[in-house]
Amino acid sequence: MFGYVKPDRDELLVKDYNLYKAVYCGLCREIKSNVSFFLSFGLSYDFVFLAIARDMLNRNGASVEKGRCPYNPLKKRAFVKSEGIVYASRVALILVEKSLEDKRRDKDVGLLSPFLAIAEAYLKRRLKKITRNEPYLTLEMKIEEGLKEFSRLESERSDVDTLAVAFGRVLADAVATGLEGDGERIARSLGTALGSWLYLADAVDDFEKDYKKGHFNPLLEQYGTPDEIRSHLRDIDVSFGAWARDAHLALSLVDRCDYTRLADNILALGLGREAYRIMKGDKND
Amino acid sequence: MTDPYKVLGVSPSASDDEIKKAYRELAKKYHPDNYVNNPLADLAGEKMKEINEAYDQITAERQRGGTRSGGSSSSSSSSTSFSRVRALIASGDYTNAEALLDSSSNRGAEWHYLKGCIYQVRGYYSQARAYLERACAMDPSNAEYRAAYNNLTSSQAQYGGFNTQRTSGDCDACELCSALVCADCMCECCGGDIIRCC
Repeated sequence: MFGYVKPDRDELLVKDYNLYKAVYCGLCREIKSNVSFFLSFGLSYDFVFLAIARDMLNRNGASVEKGRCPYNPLKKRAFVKSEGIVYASRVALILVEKSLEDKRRDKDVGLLSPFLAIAEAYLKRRLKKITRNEPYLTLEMKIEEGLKEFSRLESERSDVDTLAVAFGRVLADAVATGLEGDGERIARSLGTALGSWLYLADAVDDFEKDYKKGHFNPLLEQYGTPDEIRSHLRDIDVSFGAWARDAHLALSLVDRCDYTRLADNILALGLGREAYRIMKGDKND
Repeated sequence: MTDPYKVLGVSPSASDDEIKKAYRELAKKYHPDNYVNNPLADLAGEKMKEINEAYDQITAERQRGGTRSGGSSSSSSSSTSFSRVRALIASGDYTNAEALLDSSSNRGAEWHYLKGCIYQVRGYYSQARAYLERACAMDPSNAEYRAAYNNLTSSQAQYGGFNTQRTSGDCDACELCSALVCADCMCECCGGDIIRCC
């Protein structure tokens, strides 16, 4: 959806970087062959992390296989096959479909509108197939409910904390559905913190654009103008730091596994790096 | 019980120093101070217990009298007018704590501090920061308020975008030394000297 949750590559071991790529390829393959061909083009880093987190929570090891990449058949690539990847691919479908619906409802898409309508109808059909099975049916309902509550709060122009945590709850469902006991609690805490972080990141990334177009942005509501927001970035950074810490503290409670070093990198370094990039207003690298 | 070496993430052939280092790192990670106002504090406590036991087991196996620093959380709450609110917060009843707080007209430093704590537990960090900052400004000498504010903002140093190591790392000790040596060389070229010995 956003693509903000990714590792700080400069600080990764090469083997962890290869593992990350293998999860990425595994997820892309799974989406392409079992979910939707089109969705594999819209694969974002966030869902790769979701797959990793789910496998950590379920104590699944990383089983790496080798195969040809459909987009580059000349090369053999390593890819991971796991429950977490299957789960993340389904969540990706649900969230992308809901965000398309949301975009079209905003009526801000202009010329793209007919294309989006086709894409949405197509994804809806795929979604129907996926949600025949649990836990995806429950998940879709929970996400829809959560997003409804979120839009209600947004239409009331709530403050940035309230909106961020409401979005965090949606993500908590996306991470935790189907888990039980301590794993569920950890997943919920991780999802809430990460979702809140993501919402804030998106708000910081978009305030300039929102100001020009006159769209709602909770930071503009709070501070007034883009310049005023820019002079308060260090205050905003406290929230970034606190949510990233919550996410890292939660996932630290999972037993050590193949993914631990990679996940530590993403949460302790990757998020901070990305927050800094967004606050500086740099383009995506 | 599970393999104590696995718990600490070290190999059975690791040296005593390596084990101590691994234990310290984990103890730092799961220390109760990290999980203040965090709903997963009990799980962190279990983890802490697990690694303590693992470390004790290894040191006992290696027949060494290990010394370990256990986790002690410091919590001091002075008796104050908001003791009822504090009791509610301690029991996890944040809704009633907030209602009681909002009904109070005595909005001093402690009121802002408690309000900040409630927001912090909920993850409403920008409000939490504002309230805790206000509490510190109203009563700068209070260590409790200061500690809570520092706890919240300390995460920024490690996890925030303006991470000190990454962004302002343009003058560390190493660079300071090399700058001094350069300056010394230049001075020597002109016949002067700032560092006598080189």
